[in-house]
Amino acid sequence: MVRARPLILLLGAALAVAWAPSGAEPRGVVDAPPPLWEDALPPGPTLAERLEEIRSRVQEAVVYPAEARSRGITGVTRIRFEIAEDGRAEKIRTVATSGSALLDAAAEQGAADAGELPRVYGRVEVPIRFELLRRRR
Amino acid sequence: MIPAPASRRERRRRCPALLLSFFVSLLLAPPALGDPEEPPAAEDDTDQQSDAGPPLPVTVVEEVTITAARSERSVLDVPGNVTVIDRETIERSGARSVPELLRREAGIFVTNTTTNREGYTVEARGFNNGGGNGGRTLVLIDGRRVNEPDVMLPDWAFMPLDNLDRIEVVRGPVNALYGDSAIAGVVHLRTRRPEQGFQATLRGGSGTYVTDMGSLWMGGGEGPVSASVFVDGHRTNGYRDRSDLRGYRTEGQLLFDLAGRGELRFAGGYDSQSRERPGTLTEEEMEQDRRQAAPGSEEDFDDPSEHWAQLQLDLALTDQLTLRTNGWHRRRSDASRASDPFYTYRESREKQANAIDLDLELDAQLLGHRSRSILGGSFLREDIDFESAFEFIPFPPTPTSNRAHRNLYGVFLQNELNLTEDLLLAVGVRRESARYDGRDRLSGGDFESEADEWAPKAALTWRVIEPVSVYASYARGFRFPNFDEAFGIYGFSPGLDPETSQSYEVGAKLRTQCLTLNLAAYHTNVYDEIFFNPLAPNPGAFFPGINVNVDRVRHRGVEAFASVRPTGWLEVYGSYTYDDVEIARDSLTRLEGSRMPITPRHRGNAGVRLYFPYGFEAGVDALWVGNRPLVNDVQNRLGKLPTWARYDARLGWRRELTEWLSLAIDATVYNFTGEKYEEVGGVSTFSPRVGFFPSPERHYVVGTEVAVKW
Repeated sequence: MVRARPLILLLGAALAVAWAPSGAEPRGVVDAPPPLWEDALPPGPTLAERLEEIRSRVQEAVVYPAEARSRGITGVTRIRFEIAEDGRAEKIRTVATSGSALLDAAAEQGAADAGELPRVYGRVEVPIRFELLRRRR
Repeated sequence: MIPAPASRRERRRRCPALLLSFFVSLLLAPPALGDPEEPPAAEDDTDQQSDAGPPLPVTVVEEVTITAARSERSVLDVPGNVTVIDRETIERSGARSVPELLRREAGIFVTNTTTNREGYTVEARGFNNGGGNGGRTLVLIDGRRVNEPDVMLPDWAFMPLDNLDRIEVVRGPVNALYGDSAIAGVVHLRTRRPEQGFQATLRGGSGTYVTDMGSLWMGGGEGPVSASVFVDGHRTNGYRDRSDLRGYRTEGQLLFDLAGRGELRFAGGYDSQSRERPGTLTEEEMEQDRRQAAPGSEEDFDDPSEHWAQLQLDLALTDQLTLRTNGWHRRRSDASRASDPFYTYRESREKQANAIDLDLELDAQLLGHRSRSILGGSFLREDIDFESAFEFIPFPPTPTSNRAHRNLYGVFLQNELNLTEDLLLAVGVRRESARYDGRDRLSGGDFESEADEWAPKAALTWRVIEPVSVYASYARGFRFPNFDEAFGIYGFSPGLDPETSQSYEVGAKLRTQCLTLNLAAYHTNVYDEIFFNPLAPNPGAFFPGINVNVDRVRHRGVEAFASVRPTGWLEVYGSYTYDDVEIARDSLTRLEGSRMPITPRHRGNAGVRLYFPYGFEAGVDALWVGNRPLVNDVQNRLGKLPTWARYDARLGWRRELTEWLSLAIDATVYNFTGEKYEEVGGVSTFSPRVGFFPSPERHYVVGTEVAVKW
């Protein structure tokens, strides 16, 4: 029973990966065979909970660049990264630019500053939308 | 000094290293229009995989939204020589009036003729000629135009410093939002806004020449409603005899937040002053006693009062579309007398201005580029009722009684388009029409006139590297004749055309935590510049002198400003302005080659401020103004007004005692070297007298401030 839980989690993860919205880029989304180390995943939160935590941590870590705020720059950056053994985001890169190097850099920096993230097999893609509230003259 | 947060102090300590690294990066960075850190293309998906094996799956997380308030637009993106003077700078300046603060700005030239708060002229880009013509710098308070309809010069004595949050200074006619009277630039005063809770600031000051001043600002907000009131009183006997000024002002505002989508603001105020005018002194009179009033000026005075009301609406119709309206009313009464041994002049004026502005701002993508467009219209109606009597001794008085109206209709479109993230193109166009009608009540003559002008603008701003931008701009500007020029004591001038300008400018700006640099060079040709030419024949009088259009006047110059704060305790700044203003073509009186009066070719200022522990600070400011031709000396035949330099020193202490209480005390000695100088002097318009306005010698003011908030 104890060993069955990771298997259920793994199955859930595989299903989630298969059904996850692929956005504009389905090329990297595949049903990959689980590697051996996946079996060693400790019991814990579900994949959905882990993804939500990643989302929440990235949200807290990303800072809207002051220069972009003053220049009224908005947009959506999609970043992709892997989660290392120590939980840190690594191999962070922008896969869909917002059109602004400032926002892209802020998004990547946010992922790097997100701290220890729950582990997820494969790569994680996070769309980050930068929005500005209107300002009175 | 209020102890700064640790992070701020840390940044200040790092300033020399940051500066060094910045200059190194400036030298090494390849200039490129594109972004050197352009991210890799999205479809390049496998290059980052370290292991050659099957590609790893990608899990897409739900979208993260980062929301922030849009901050004030960076001056680096504004295609012009722009300065924002914030509250902290105002408080540390030691200045007690807005013009004294603006004196330190490169490109702005300030003169004073009374030694009290009245009599200031503030103009940019060589338009301060010391005569009756002026008003090429548009002055606004919270969007309300305060240039007087008759002379187009604002009355700076009606603009207290204590309720200002910041001052925005734009040099040149680069902005299509403003038309008439913005040839030289725009000075926009923004008053303090109340915040949630309660805030109050009480200020008082006292100094030489029996000067006392005090003000109280109180405001606060609860939920969507906020309000504030401001009262200000001032009295001084002035440096010279008969230069007393007494005045008080009260104003208030009420603001409603429209569910986060906008704001409705009501504001209104009343101001009343009584002032004496000491007149000019000849060199001989100054040698006897430079503080005396001009002989025969014992009864000279100016007693103005005004009231005003304003209604503003700022509403986001959609996320991209914002509607702004601004309507205001202003009424002012003036009674005055001026004289010298040869003449006496009395007048009374009733002036009224009503205006409404409406604009729509669209912030959206245009062909894949970020675009900000403002489409707007404005209407301004000015009325003046004017009676005067000019008595040229020993002849009987010549009365004047005029009533006149002027309507200005303007429409404009301005667009700012980000061609790339670092390249901003701004284009705009404004069209404005003026309709005049006037009546001479003594002769029964009527007068009507109209004029139309349009002004295209274009500018390109390039963010070369993060804290640096350069810009180049072209703009046309214009100014319609004001009431005094069209309907003044010299009679109607139906032949007077609007003046227009073609202005070219290049500049560079740098902003970091510890270093600020501004550099601008401009060349402006002013066509039909309206100017009181004492040599021009006046068909309506027995002496020459009338407002005329000078065919072409060339204004060109350089403005440079630098401020460095290498450590937390030291700040050094300096500026230099070169203004070369010369008549290039004058078919009427052949004055080609003459320098226009009063604006010096060279001027500058510098200062150092020291910040000590426990909130103590000290500073010295120096002002230097080069020689300049006298008023009405259009042939440059008389001697020049000499160069002068003034040094001010200030000691201050400011401390937040608790979370809700802060105190400040400061003492400023102005002109501590006791320099005897005259800012303005010239030949009288109505007599051969060559007179000067002596400026104050050493004087001081001690001030206190108590601020509370909860």
